[in-house]
Amino acid sequence: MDSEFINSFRSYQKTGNFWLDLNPITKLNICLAFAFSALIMLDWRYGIPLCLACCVVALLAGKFKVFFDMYGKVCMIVILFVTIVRQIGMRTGNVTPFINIFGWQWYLESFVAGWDRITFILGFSGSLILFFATTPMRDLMYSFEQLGMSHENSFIMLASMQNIIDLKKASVTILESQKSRGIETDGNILVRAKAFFPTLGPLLLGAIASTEEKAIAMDARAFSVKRKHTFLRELAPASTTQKTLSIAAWVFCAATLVFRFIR
Amino acid sequence: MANKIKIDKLSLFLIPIGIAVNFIGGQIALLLKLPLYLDAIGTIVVGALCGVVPGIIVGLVSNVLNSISDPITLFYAILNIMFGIAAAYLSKKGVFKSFGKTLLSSLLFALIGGGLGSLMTWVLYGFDFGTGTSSIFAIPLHETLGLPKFLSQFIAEFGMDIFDKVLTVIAAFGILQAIPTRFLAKLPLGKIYIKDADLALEDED
Repeated sequence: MDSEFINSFRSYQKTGNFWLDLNPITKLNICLAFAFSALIMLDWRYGIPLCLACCVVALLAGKFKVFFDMYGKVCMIVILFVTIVRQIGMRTGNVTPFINIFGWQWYLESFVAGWDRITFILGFSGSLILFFATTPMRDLMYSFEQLGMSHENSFIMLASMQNIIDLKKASVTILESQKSRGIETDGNILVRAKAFFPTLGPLLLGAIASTEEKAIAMDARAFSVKRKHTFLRELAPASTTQKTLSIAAWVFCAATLVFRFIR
Repeated sequence: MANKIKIDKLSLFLIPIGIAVNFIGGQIALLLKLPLYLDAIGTIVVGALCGVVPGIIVGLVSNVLNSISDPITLFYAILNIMFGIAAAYLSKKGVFKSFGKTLLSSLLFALIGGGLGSLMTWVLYGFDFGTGTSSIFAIPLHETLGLPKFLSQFIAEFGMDIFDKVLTVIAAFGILQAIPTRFLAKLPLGKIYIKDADLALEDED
């Protein structure tokens, strides 16, 4: 088992899934191109199929749960708010009655306008959430470094994500400790606002204090050395097919722009 | 970013802390059931201590990481970037050394967050109300007082942002005052916050 684990690092990291095994830059190009196409088209007849396509890709990649945990929340908020807001905002002029919900008259024009906007937001969000749900951040940073980005930038992104996890845990601990010391965390808004400072203060000062030690520790591990870095996990570089896919995605995005102008 | 513009090592290590604090501020607000964002404390502290570029990076990366779960926040990255620039500028002017001036600075941050934010929402949502908490206040303003939609959105966002930014700058002020002199001396704008008494002691040494 040990040798199997060690040998897994001797070749490119693969999962056997087509979408997951795409180079992160290829995936980013495809997702960005489709996200922008949703902004360009601004039409529910394009947006709905795009949202469904994102769900299908997530399902095929075996990441539907992770994807839908995030996407479901965005969908719920956007659909609810935009539909209601449009019905409130567009009630005058040349409007056609659509449905009546408990005495509240809905109009067709405002409903369609709402769904154009909803699918524009959800198409854009779906494409990006799909990318992040199917691409580990360390792989994305690795790919950027291969393109020449500084390892310091990778550090900023990856350390930020780790710090968020660490500080989140610490914030709950500090809040519980402050509660047990008698600081009120329930009550009116001012009482709760006052409890914010004794929680954030120790958290941030503790984090800042550890920065110096971290800087020394990182330098001791040759963080500042100016030479090519090595990597434990290696990803396959983008093949010609993958590069063609990226170009095709952006050509498609440009085509939607042309289509929008012609229409 | 960092390979083109030189950032000193300590500032580089403070950037991820600033980004994490932006997240945790919002998290604590949620735990305390406060209807506020409190997601710019890290940007303001890093901008005030390390300067414009680290402030911009904290603002930008915070929104990029936020966009993982809510991609629309990517459009609002410009607000957080402007918080970083404003914090560095105000810090150089010594604003964060006085509590009164710090409180006043919340107006500028609220104008960026509420003013520019409502403009972003206005364009993004097709010249209509957005999906944020501010819409809950903006819609009644439009419906009952008959105010134009944009004005209602602006008043609601600015009103909410002013309370948010007052708490944000108070937290940032407290943190800047509490950082040890030994640490401040190593940061690009840290010297601004070293108290005169400490400087006198240093001179004597």
